[in-house]
Amino acid sequence: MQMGQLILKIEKGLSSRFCRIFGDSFTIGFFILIIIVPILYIFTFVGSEWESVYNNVFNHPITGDGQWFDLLTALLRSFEIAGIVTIIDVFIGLPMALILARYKFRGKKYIDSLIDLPLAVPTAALGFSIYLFWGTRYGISGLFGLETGLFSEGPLMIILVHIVFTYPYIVRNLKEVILRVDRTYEHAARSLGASGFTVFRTITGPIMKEGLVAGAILAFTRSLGETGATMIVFGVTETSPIQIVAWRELGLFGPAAFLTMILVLVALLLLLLLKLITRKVGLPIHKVFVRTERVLSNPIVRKTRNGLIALIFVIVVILPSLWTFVYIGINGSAVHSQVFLASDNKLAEFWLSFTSSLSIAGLATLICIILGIPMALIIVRRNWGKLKAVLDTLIDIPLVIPSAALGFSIFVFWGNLGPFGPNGLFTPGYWLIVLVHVVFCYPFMVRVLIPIIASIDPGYEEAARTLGAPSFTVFRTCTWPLLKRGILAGSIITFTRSLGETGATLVVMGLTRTIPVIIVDWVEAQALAAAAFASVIIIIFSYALIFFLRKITLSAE
Amino acid sequence: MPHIEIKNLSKGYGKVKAIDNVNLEVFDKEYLTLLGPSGCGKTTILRSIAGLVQPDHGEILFDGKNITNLPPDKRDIGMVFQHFMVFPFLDVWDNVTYPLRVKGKSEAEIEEIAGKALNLVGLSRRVNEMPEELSAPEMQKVGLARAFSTGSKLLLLDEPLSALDSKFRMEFQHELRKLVKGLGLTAVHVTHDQSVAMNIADRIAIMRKGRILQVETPMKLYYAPNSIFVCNFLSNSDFLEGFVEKQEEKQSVVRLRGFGPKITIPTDKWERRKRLVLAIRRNEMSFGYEASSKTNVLNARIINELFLGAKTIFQVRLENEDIVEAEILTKDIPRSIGREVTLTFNIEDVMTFEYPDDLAYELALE
Repeated sequence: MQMGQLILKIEKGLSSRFCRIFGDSFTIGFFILIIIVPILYIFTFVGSEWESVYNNVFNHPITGDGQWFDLLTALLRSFEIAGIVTIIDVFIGLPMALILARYKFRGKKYIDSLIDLPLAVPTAALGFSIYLFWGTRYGISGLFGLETGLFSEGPLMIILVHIVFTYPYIVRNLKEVILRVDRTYEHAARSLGASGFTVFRTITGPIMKEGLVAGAILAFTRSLGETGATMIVFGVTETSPIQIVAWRELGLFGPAAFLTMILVLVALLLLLLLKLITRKVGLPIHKVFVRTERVLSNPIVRKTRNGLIALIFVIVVILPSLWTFVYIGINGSAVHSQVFLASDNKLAEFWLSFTSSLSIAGLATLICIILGIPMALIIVRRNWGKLKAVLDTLIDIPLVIPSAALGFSIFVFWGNLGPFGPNGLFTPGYWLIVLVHVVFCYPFMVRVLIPIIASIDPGYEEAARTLGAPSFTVFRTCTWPLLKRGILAGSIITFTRSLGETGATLVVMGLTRTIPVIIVDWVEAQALAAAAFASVIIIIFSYALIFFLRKITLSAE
Repeated sequence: MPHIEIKNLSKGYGKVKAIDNVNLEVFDKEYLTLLGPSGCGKTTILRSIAGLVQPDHGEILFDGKNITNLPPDKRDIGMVFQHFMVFPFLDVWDNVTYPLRVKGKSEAEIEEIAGKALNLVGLSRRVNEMPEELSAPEMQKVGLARAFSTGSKLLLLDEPLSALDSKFRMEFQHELRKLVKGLGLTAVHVTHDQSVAMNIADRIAIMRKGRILQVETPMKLYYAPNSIFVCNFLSNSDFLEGFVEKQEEKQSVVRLRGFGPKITIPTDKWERRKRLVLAIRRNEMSFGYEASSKTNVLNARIINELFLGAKTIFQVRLENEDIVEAEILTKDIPRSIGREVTLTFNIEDVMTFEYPDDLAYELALE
């Protein structure tokens, strides 16, 4: 009883105007100083160090403008790959989203959770599995008795890998969008004489257009910025994020900073595109090809399409993603000798990086929860007009920037090259990794929370206010119970993102190692069996975690 | 030309039967409304006709042709929706020409047909506006013009007026009927609003819990309902319980329960001692002593009054403690609570029903 009264008293204090203003400023201050400023600092850095950057990139005594040439090549290649991946994604993802949103069939639940598989698994583990499947004799070529892989490392395999990990983004996004479409519009169109395909193209299409474009841009930025999986399959075809990591390792800070700046700029442009242009994209909906579209609406055509999509899903996405398990089944003894018997004690190394991965992900998630909730509340609830819209856009910045660029930028800001003098505030290592992970996880948490807070009817809170509860008590008693699920969902995403990140970690890790990093290391050292071991453990762990958390949420209801 | 026959139609959602073995015929050029409380299955019937719902059993015939398994786009229908469903990303012209474009008509035909349709609803000058610039009645006019430009002779209307303000509803419903009749269309109109159905329909099909109870002209439904539910749904009536005491020529005398007062009913079809429910419309009652061979006169005491403006509803208690509500013109008789009055109504206005198994169920308005 007294405890309860004490809590109420504290909450009353926390509800005061002063506390509210303090809370708001702290939330926004943290966001600006820890997340936005370090990212944008790269512009200042390149500007102030322009001479050295210029001499390195354009006018090097030995390579001349060779690095500029390399940089441009990699950048264009990254764009090409991301473009191709996005187009293929839309073509194979849209029908799948449609199937999941509209059809009822047995086992749909399982397909639905299989789609999420690449989201939960670190991209390095995923890339490794796909590499085993397509690129080694332990994969699909083994089935045909070949001694080498079907494909070798290079652009084609990069595309295959990128399709797999961007696929869930497209399917998830589109499925949600399709579910939200008011089907009565489609019914109206059917009643007006349009065939099924025509309805989809002329009615459903325009309604879900924004979601489609948003999903495509998201997939594009993911592909553009991915490091971990790409490192495993790139061969000699460098993409921009890989170039940043490589230059950072070689100590070529000038070119790395310049490339980082370009990538940040590109990402900001994409974000602007996402916010401003999606609405204005036109789809060709006025011309109707009556006969062709009638044929396409034919049930047989539709069934063939669904079968084809399912086949592609299995062969391109699911089988390669899970191939590590098959590999371990075949090469159990190699795993045993590499991990447990070899003199370099890989097991200890694995264990160390596993614990740091978990504690980094846990810490990053915790910080994101604590600072993400007030931010989401501010964006949804405060009547700040334009400022709110600005915050809402700024939130997405870390989301669209390639994580290697993000990592480099932060490394420069907090380290000895930044505004904190020659000693820097953070040196590469554990705490800088945590900081970087907070930065790129933060938008995921806030983005998940925003729609949930927006969907909570403020009527309940108004009712509680009229019943005499101070605003903080209202939050605890009315908002929090409804928010819990969202926080869990946000935590799952944040945690798995942090667990699976490679690019930024490579830039800021110092001597600390995380699981994705050792997978990349071991693949580079051709210790495939050990890499497979690490991959499988992390895949099982991620999946068990998600399963466990889902169970908790379900039983809590 | 469209003549619709629905035969033994059933549709269930899980365990709930939305419609249960329904038979219905809609004649050519007829305006039929499906009327009933929400959840009675009226929309399911309409959507089955449109092909938007696939029935579990039964068939639907258009002009004798079985179209039960045809998809909606091959049925040649025009449909109007409750929330308009005017495509928000197309302007008025593109909305109205949509059915013509998806059927691959030539530009000239499109211009002509859509132009006519827009002219009919009076929106010819607003072709370039986007739906968000239109008011609700205008949106529905676009929906209507769009249905007209399908060229179909069958118009299906799913609660087309219920999203409009009551002021516009009256106006719109007259216009709607005029247009349908002018174009010689067959119309099937779903509504839960009795007054809309009464005003607009040639015939009304009254539905409850997945079944059609009665299909009749509005007049016949009002004056000769075939069940207590229909009577209660269409008019404000008082329901009294009694036994047939004696049969006379073309009329009988009923004694209200609890050895209450006697009421003469305009029929001799019920045998002696038969337990009945009598229904008297509240607006047919008056206060006064106009006793004649054509009226029933009952003693009563006013126990409550509810002033409605032009009319006042009086709650009165009869001798047997039954309570009756009478709707009386306010200016006629200003009375007050506690006063004794006589309640008068014509013998012809008493409707009689056999006492049902479950009176409360019959009287529930759902």
